[in-house]
Amino acid sequence: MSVTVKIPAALRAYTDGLSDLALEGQTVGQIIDALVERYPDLGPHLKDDDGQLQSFVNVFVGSKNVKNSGGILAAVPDGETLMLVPAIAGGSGDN
Amino acid sequence: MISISSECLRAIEQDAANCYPYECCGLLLGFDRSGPNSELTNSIATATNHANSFDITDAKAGPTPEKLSVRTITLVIPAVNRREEAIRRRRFSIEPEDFLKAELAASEKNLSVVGIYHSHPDHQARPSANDLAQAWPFFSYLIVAVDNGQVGFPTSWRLNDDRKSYTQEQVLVTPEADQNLCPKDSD
Repeated sequence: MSVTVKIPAALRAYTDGLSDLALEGQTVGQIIDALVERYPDLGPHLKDDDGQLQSFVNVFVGSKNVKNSGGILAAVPDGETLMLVPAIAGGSGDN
Repeated sequence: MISISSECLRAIEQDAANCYPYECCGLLLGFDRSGPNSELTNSIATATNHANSFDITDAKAGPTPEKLSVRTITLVIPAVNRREEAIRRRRFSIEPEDFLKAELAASEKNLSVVGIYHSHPDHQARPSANDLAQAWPFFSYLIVAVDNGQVGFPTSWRLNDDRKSYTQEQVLVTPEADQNLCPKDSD
């Protein structure tokens, strides 16, 4: 089960400059784990201390954002493209 | 260091003023140059440098200022602040679809999304804990304070690898739009 993972420019410093990677996995979680296993320095930018996807990371499977519809459990069909997309947010309020 | 044309900076200032008392936000498109010895650095003497100092406040780990790439902003794309109105004075968010559109626009011009700007209405132009919690590496986070509707000069910050601190980068304003790519007010 191979999928293509598209790495945003903001994270390519951690993937030796590569924008497209072929990884194995059947769910978003498995593919993220495979990505972090290959590039450990990516870990803190993708997963929190509990192993969940960071709140500022969106994952598109094909054209669908699965962050709130399956999340790391969302299935990724063989040959599909998984895209990491920054969730840009912030603001002056501290809480 | 981040270099931005006066025209692009005006677009940000206008967005910040128009959105006040709410936070504005948008994307910065441009490119990185090779490093501190770049052509841009050598031209500093002919440009207008608005940074009073080059503090590395909060920089406890990660890249030092000398190691940060020299970055040029050539296009500013204002975005809609998608946060609820009740908290829009202190929060902003950009929809992933809006980000993807900006990435597409950047690639069509051989540029990259290299940063994000937002305003801090009646608050200092420094990253908050909320900014830090959601920050991405690589991006320049340009912040403008807006005090009673008056827009101040921006500060710019890059997340350190420890995800716990930033390095402040110098903001250099150049008199002309680089490659003439900045949108006009009517766009």
